[in-house]
Amino acid sequence: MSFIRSGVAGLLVWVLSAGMSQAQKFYPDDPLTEEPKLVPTTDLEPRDLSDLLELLSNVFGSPGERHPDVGVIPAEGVNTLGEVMDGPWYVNRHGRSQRMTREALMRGPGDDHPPTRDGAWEALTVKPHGTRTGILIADSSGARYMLRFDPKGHLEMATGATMVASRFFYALGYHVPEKYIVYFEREQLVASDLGEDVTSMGGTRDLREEHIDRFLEQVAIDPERGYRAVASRIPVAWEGYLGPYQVFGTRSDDPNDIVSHEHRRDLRGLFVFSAWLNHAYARAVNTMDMLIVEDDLPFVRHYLIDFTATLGSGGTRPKKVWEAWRDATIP
Amino acid sequence: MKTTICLAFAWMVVGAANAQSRVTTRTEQIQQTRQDKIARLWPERESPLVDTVNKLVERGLYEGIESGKGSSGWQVFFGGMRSGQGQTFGFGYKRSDMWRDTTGMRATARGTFQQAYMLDYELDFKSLATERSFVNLYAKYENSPQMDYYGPGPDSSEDDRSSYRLEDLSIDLHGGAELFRGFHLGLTGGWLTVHTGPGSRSGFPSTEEIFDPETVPGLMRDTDFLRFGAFVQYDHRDIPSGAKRGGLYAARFRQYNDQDLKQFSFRQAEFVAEHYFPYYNGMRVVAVRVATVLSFESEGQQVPFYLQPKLGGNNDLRSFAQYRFYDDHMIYANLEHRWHAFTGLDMAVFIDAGKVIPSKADVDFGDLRYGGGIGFRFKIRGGVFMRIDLAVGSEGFRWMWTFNDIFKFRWRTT
Repeated sequence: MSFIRSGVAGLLVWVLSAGMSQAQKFYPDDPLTEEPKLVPTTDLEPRDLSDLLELLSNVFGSPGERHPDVGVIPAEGVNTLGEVMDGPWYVNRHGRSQRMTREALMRGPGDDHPPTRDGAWEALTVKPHGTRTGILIADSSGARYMLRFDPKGHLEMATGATMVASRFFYALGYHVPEKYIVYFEREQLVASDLGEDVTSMGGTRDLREEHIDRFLEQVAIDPERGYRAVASRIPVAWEGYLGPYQVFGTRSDDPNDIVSHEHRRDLRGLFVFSAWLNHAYARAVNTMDMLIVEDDLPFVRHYLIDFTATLGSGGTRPKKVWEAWRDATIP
Repeated sequence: MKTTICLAFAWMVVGAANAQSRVTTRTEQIQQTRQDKIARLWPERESPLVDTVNKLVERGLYEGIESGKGSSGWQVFFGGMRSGQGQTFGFGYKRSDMWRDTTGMRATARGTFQQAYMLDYELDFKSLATERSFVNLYAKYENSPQMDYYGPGPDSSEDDRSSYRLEDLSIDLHGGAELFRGFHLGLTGGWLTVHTGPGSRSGFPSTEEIFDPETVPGLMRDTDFLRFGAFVQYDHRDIPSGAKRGGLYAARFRQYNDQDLKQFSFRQAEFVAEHYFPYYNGMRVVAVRVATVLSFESEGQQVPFYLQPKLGGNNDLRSFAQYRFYDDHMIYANLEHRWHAFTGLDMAVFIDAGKVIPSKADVDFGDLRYGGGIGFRFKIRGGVFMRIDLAVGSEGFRWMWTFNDIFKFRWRTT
């Protein structure tokens, strides 16, 4: 009898203890406004995604965890007030505690590091075919930039949309590489001795000046100011590029990535912001993970890239009015 | 006493079990979750398909679907031969930056299990062209052993179905310029040699067995043609395949000079007009196409039956069999209402009407043949790469599965 009484008491302790540990909803440091110090991240390998496979996967499948028929799965990656914390995914820049100034809004992700003009820009890679055509350059200081242009006949379309949308997304809280509008003459570009030209077969060959000429024949030119491009600053050494992030699940090699992406409040919110800015190609392949080192701490920062298909721009042509509309199955 | 000891022991056990999960701050809780994940880290894996598909895309897969010429490099085909010869299989190779970027080329070889085959080769002389002009050479050999023939005229009978072999080799040079945005003008000229022979379609007689070669101009009479002409085209469609707005209006005039038998010289005038009326923000489109072909025989000459306009099949009068009608002249129209079903699929309901006409004096819109149906158009980035159409008309029901856009413009004018 005594044994039974002791067992019941023990069970009671277990239940109470478990209940206490689960019942604690608030901690002394709630609500957090910043993610706790990140765990050092090393040994990451880049991996790629396919736009076409993503399209098929999302049209004919339902990747990630979806909301149940009844109810919703609450957003995660938030503090106890449901707010997104500042961190490698998102930074509350405009709205929580203070508003960005007009100048800061216009400055966007940065205006301190445009390509230098005290020397020629070395063309490292010229990519005239396929998706995301452009020229990768290094300025005289060695900083790297990706130059992307407007299609012929549509001067300022894609580059203008990129500059406007990148500032919006930056102000909304996302990490966006620095972008600069540059005008230049042909002489500003020289083929690097180690440069590559991407062929129509997807391979590479030694870069020659004529490859640059041929590329520039395809792009819009301002008759008074020369070639116009958006120069996207590569955030750190290119070796830190880890490829795009997926919009569901987590990165299996990143210890700081602990919330399924489909449940991240910042990424769920991206859906709304993308609809607002008519970002018709807001998809996984237009994101970028970079290994960043700050204060000797290596970690993965998650960026949005490629805003050429925002607002009225379709990237290579004006956006068609039906793009970014919802699907409709009735005639 | 025993109870007290038990309680203390239980508390210690539970406490030890929960020690790892007991945290005092939110920061600790998150850090602990991260530490837990460190024990479960593994390298990111990339599907082997990703690299393959990305290479295809980088080689111009999307642009190739829009233009109908495929991506650079090796290609695989499931269509592109004359209709009615069986399922096509083939391969090809395309480059757009040969010989220091001065030349593009595309070569293909295709065949069917019914022993039809085709070889073609295209050279695009980029160095001779400017930003607003083009020059290309196209050579093709095609052997189609089961071409259908039902007899001449609009009143030919289904019961007279027969088949013949059509074997031809052609080499044509095309050149033109864009005078202003979308407006192209150009010239075309080349050589065509044609052989017709007994057909091999199972279950049907060969054409010469039921039609007198004397009454079917050109049947079993091989000859060579010199052909040349001009074309004009105004194209303001938003995209070439799966267009949603704009239109295309084109005319082509060609002279065929019979070099061998001197019996089949003629001129042919072709007109096509298609227009797209979008509404509901372009999610729905009414597409209209009207086309006609008129033939003009030279004095004492005839139009060989294999170069007569043909009506019926997957690309014009869909509820009628392939090549159901032959005659010197033809007129047809298609009306489609298309709607965006979901990403990658458009659907359509359609009506087709048309007829062949033996005499120019009878060219009108009376006595048309009609058909209608529903279609499914599979798209990538707006371009149609495959479609399934189900059509019904006065000669019954047909369904077709093809790898092209119904309104695909087949002339080489750009």
